[in-house]
Amino acid sequence: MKFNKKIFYRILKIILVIIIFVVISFTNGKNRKVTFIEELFGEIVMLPQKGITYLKNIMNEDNTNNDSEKIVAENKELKNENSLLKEKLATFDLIMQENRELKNKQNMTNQYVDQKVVIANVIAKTSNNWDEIYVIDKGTDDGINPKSVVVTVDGLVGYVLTCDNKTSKVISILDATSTFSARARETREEVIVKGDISYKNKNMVRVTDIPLGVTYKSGDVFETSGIGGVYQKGITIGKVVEFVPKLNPIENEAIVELAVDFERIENVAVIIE
Amino acid sequence: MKKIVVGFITLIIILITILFQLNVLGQVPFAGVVPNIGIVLITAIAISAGSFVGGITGFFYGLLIDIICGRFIGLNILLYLSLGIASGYLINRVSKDNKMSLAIMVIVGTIAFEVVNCLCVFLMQNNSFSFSRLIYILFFEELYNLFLTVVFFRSFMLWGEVLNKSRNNYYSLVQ
Repeated sequence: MKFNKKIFYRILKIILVIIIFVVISFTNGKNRKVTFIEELFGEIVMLPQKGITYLKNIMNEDNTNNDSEKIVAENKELKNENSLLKEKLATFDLIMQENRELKNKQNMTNQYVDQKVVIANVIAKTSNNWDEIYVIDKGTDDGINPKSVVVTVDGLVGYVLTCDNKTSKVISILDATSTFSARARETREEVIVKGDISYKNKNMVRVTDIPLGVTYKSGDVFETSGIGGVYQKGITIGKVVEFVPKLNPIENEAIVELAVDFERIENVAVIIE
Repeated sequence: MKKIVVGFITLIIILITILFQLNVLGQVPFAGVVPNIGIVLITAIAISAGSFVGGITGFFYGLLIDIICGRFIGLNILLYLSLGIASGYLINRVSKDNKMSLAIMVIVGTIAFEVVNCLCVFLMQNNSFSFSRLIYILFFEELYNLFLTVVFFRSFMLWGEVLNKSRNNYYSLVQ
């Protein structure tokens, strides 16, 4: 029987698709260990990624320096003493900016003083329009494990999905698949917070499973309830912007604007248990 | 030896494209929608080098995306691999020089890619399917991807022709 190339390639393609589905089912587990190949490729790609982030930070500092040099050059023509003071002022601005960043990081550590935290930088964000996954520059070498809670000084960010030696992937509460238990800070009812594709770009999430007869007004704050085993109790989630009553009161929901500004997120704290 | 060098350069191109997607395109959304230069890259290479090379390129592109920022390994591999193979097959039915057909290939590729992505999120999430959101994303992403096609398609196709040449040289040597 002649060897039929076409049929062979078709069978090969089917086998490849089956293998990919098997890989998906194995890698979809939340507590899975990162494989050696993933670590290797991750290291190769994260190196230039970290370099780009470092260059971005340097360019921001350089811009400030270039502005002050211009001012110094202008002032030199008029008064030498004044130009020296302008130079000192520019250096002072740089130091203040660095101070603000360091204070922000310190605040995150102080806020969670009873827990061990690791401060990390966000170095990449997911590349599509459906996921909300961030990559941070700390991993198992720094004590981070999958399911570690990620926060900022403003509130809850999400939890660690997977991590390798140097980096970790964090799935944020904005993600459409995010669901967790929460509580109204003042009135203490238990609710469910869900990410929603429609509200993602507005930095908002939906609150559902509101007990019958309960309504919320703008400004009511929600925090994590500690139920479910993912997030600790008492971490700020956000404030109500709109209460949406439905025909069936069981389906009432509230739209909550998150405390963390996910558009500008740069540093996060990972709580290590 | 030449094939290995060409393959290595292709991997570098994939890496640079991914870094461009994450660091540049991800920071400049259009109406809140991020484009996908991977679709343009894979379609261009598949058109000039065929479905096999397009599939391989799609496989490695998807693998790197999954490793860097994917929810799990496999989804992007499957999507980009299928995109590469399908684009390579479909181009046999249209003219490579017709710019309209190339634009339509990118449009169809984007639609298929995003619909599957949306379905996966729908299967994993716990609330209702957002059709309006899908249409919104598709509309703006198509416009943005077409803009990227105008800018980058030719360059990607040129590299696809290099890949095709090196593959044909290999086969002629083997035979």
